[in-house]
Amino acid sequence: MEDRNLLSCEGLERSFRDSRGSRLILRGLDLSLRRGELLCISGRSGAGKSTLLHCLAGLLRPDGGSIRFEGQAIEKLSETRRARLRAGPVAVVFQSLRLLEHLSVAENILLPGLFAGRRRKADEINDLLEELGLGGYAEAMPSDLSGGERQRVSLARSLMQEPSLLLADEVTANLDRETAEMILGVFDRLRSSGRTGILAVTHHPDLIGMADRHLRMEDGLLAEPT
Amino acid sequence: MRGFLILLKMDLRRSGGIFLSAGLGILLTAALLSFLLGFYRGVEKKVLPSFIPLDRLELKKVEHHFKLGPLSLGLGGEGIQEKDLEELRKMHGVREIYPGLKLAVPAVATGGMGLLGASFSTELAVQGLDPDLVRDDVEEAYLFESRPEAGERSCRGDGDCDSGLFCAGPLYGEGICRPPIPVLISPRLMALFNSGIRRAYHLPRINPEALIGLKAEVDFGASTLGVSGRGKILRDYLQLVGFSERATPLGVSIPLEEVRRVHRFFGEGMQRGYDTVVLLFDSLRSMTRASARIPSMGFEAVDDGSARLMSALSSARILLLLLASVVLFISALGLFQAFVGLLERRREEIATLRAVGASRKKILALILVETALLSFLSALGGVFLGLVSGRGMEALGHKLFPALIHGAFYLADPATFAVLILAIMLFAMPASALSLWIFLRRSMV
Repeated sequence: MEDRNLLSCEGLERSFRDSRGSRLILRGLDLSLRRGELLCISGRSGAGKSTLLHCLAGLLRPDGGSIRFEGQAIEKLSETRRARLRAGPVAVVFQSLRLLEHLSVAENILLPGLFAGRRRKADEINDLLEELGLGGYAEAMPSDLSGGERQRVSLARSLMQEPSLLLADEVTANLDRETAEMILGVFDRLRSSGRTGILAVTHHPDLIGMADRHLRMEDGLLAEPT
Repeated sequence: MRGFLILLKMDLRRSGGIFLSAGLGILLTAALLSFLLGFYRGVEKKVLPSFIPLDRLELKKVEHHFKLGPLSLGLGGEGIQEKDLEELRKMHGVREIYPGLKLAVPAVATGGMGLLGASFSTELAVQGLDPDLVRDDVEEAYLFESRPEAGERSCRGDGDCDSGLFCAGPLYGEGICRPPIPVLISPRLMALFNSGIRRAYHLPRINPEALIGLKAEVDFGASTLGVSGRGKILRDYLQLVGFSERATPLGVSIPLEEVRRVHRFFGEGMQRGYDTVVLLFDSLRSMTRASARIPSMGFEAVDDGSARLMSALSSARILLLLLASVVLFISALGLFQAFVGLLERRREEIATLRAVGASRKKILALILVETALLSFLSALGGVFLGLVSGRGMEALGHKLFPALIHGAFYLADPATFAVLILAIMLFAMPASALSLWIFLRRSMV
């Protein structure tokens, strides 16, 4: 039977080796996401949320189980093809991933396009920045921006990819209410377009409130919140 | 590709300062090595060859002696024959060979009044050369060939002879009017005179061209030590007719038949062959290899100074290469550490690049291209610094020790420097790749 999900995981496992030995972070996790769906995942620190996002983005290869994105098994793709996905249909907005300080706002936004071989016009960048309340910032350097503005540039970089899947890790953390609401507005519009699925790891109550589904992550497994 | 180049340009624009500090080690390494290599090449290619012929070996046959108590029986006195020459000619790396016959009796030349303002006498090492081998080295208007056996007429002094002829024959006896014996000398002998000997004796510098045609009296069988033990002296005249690389490096060369004529006068054995043969090699390496093979062919070096010098130079070269390898290895280790530090500083940047679609291969390519540029530019700068330092040292040497140091002794050989830059890049690239590989393995980026 054809898989209608944009993204699905079955029995996902991933462990890490450290000084205390091998630790299983993801323990046979199952997950699915449709186009136009907003799925929020919350959980305590160290539960494996970031590891899950890294696996879904193809940055980490799982030890076991499978991840299917638009019907293709991500874990079986070469590293180069997984990187190509991240420059195209899979966009990543991580709280920890900052902008490249030596590039201007416009150059940062163009980065995925450089790796995917897509050319963008200056008008497109300006329109997107305008939409995110960053009109006139195209030539600004990241060091000139506030925390909220930097996060919006990160989001603009992802949106420029016109992604099918948006993976967001704590994008609203430490942001002022106005900026957080703006980002929530962007997520809502993306979801409404019906072509992008959003998987957001978050503890933001408003974002969780507007989600189509909310799951909690505990001990490497996903469960409905109690 | 376009994206990669844009990223590279952006990165270089940003990382200039970081690269400059990382490249400093490479620059200093390149400067040190180009400084040392330039001096080594200068000594090898300029200084030594101007005094000592480094591409040639002069050989003689090994004489075997059987000792039976107080009796000693010598074998192998026929000298070097044509078949020996043929065998030597076939040796690998031999460019040219020319046989010679050393004068077996002492000789003293006297002259120089017209040139130096005083008459000088000097013991002379004389070698006979086949005129056919040096025909191109003889100045126009002169000949380098043996004189006819029969002279113009008998004489008791030079006054009995026509202009241009001299009375050659036994001292205090009757001679024959003859032209002087044509002489060729080595240009190295002139270099030695002009650079060292003339300074020691406070003599003027001599233009070699001015010496052509110069005549000197020679007494065969005489010695400046006073006693030759021959009981008689043959007086003749010499005339310089040119300079030749084939001439004996420390002495004079005259036509082969003239040497035989002197030997006949003194009753020396009528040797049909030659007593020495000079081998010219196409490279110093060929000469070093050949000198190891020569004893098995029944020859030995007349003066193995140049072979020993070559051997010493080979050892110096090996030591220099060893030093260069050690320095390069140490600087590669330093570079590895610098790159690890650089990558740690770029951890977030690399993570971001990977998140937005850069594969590990692309990041590796980016880092390697940056390393190649960094190492190339640093090595180029280092070579330039070494070159400037070498030239500066050369100028200082000339200024401080004018009597000892003259001429260029630092050789800026582009091929050597190109190899050095390439070697530095070859050491730097793996160091960079290894540091990135370890970095990517250790981190989740």
